[in-house]
Amino acid sequence: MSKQFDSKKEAALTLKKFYSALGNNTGNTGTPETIDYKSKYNLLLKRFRELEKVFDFHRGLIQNISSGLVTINMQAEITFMNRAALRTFGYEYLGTQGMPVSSLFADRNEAASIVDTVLKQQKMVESKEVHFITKSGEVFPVGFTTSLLKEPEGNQVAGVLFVFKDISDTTNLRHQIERMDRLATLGELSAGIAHEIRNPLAGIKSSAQVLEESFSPGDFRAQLASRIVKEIDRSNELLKRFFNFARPSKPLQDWHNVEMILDGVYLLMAPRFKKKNISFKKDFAESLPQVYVDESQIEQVILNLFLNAVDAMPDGGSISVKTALQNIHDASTDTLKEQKIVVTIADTGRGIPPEKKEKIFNPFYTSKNDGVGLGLSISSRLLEENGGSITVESELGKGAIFSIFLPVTKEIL
Amino acid sequence: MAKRLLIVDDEETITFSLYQSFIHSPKDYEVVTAASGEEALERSRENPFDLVITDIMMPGMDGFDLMAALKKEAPQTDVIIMTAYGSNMHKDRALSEGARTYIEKPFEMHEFKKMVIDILG
Ligand SMILES: Nc1ncnc2c1ncn2[C@@H]1O[C@H](COP(=O)(O)OP(=O)(O)OP(=O)(O)O)[C@@H](O)[C@H]1O
Ligand SMILES: [Mg+2]
Repeated sequence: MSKQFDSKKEAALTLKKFYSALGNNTGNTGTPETIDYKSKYNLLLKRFRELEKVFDFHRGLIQNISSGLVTINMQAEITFMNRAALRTFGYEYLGTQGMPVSSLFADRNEAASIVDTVLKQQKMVESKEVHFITKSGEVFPVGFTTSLLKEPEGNQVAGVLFVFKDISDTTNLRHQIERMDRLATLGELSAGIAHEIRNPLAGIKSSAQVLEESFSPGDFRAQLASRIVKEIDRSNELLKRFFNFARPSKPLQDWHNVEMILDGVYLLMAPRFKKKNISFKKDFAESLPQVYVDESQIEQVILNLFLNAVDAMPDGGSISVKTALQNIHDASTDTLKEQKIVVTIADTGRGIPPEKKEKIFNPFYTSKNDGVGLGLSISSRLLEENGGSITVESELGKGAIFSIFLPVTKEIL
Repeated sequence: MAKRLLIVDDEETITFSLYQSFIHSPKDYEVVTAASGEEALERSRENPFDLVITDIMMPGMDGFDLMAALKKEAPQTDVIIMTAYGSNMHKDRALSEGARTYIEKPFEMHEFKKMVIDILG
């Protein structure tokens, strides 16, 4: 498209030069013939300027809208990308000319089928979600819509226009909501199962204890019965953990300093950090507002994150904890909408593979021999109970950064 | 006259083991068991109890319903609620609706007995 525009503009410019050269040559004193010619020329020039304005307007529109625009020809080669598209992908304008459009897609097979749909079958695609890949190999989710490009004259199809939007933010939000749903269902399920299992356990335990009482204490049968009781208690402990996960007790919220909570958990962990050769750095923002949370629940979250960080660094490393205040503005009115305290806990451990980033929040997902896989799912649930949330970023082999967000609520004051 | 104790649970192993435990203890209680709230209420109508220990989750009339009925029909009867639900989920409700105490399953037999002796003497 731009190629076309550019060449038209070029032609127009040459025309302009030509006419203005003509204009100069005609001088001031002209014959009626030349005057007529000159007024025609002026009219043409005026039209040309109008056209140029329209052209600039359209070009500005295309270049400045926040959606990415990509056009392709019938050979599925890129013919144009607007500024937003170039920026998102990290390409230079010239580098994209003639590039196959499939190289924008993270999944080449999917790209092939989309190209087939829009070019061969000439079916338009609306609000489809796929993953694009930047020049440097970063994958990000987008939603896109296509439309056919017709030749200026006639109805011949000349190519296809893709309009897309980066939906990383909405995707994150949706993942978080899905995660909550998953947890809620699992929560109900495990509460039910735990109840069903504890009933027979109670029966076995009381029976074993009645049996134990009926023998003299030294009797091997009394000892066997007492072992049954011990094993029951062990299973019950595990069930209790699931219970807490399934139905965490209602948070006992009060005003707390995040720093105090962090320092408290650090004191608890300090010996372990030292033993594992892990250095600890903290960088707390000044005069942060207090948060309205259940102190012991937030402690548990931070403890889980510290424990995971330690597990990720078997050969030592460092943990840095940072706090900050995040102001969230309403996009349309630009007024302060809400404030959040962000606590980031970064480690220098083995990191998390990109395809596992969502999975680690699933109950029972673990990569450890002795892990249960409940730490993060419990944490994410506890934060939800307190109006907060958790996200993760990681580079494999370099470390992981967990961020927890806690709302600064004014209304309860 | 021996104190009368009713144990209500649809889990037969629990009623049976508790029954065995009390009839073999030196305390001279008259112990009766029931497998449902309805059955428990019937037994109570025949001859009221000093103490009823009931599970919450039972098909039909649950432990809370049974306690409410007993409060009306046999107000002198004490009630203990027991449950396999964890995290003291129903504790507040049980106590506010008039239970003497609340115990989580599985329990320690000696604690269970102590709880009963504290009430019945
Ligand atoms: N800081 C981290 N660095 C690398 N991987 C991590 C980190 N934190 C969590 N993970 C990954 O996420 C998985 C799930 O963590 P989660 O805390 O839920 O369970 P777990 O630690 O395996 O078991 P537990 O129930 O004992 O906490 C871990 O097994 C690990 O693979
Ligand atoms: Mg963990």
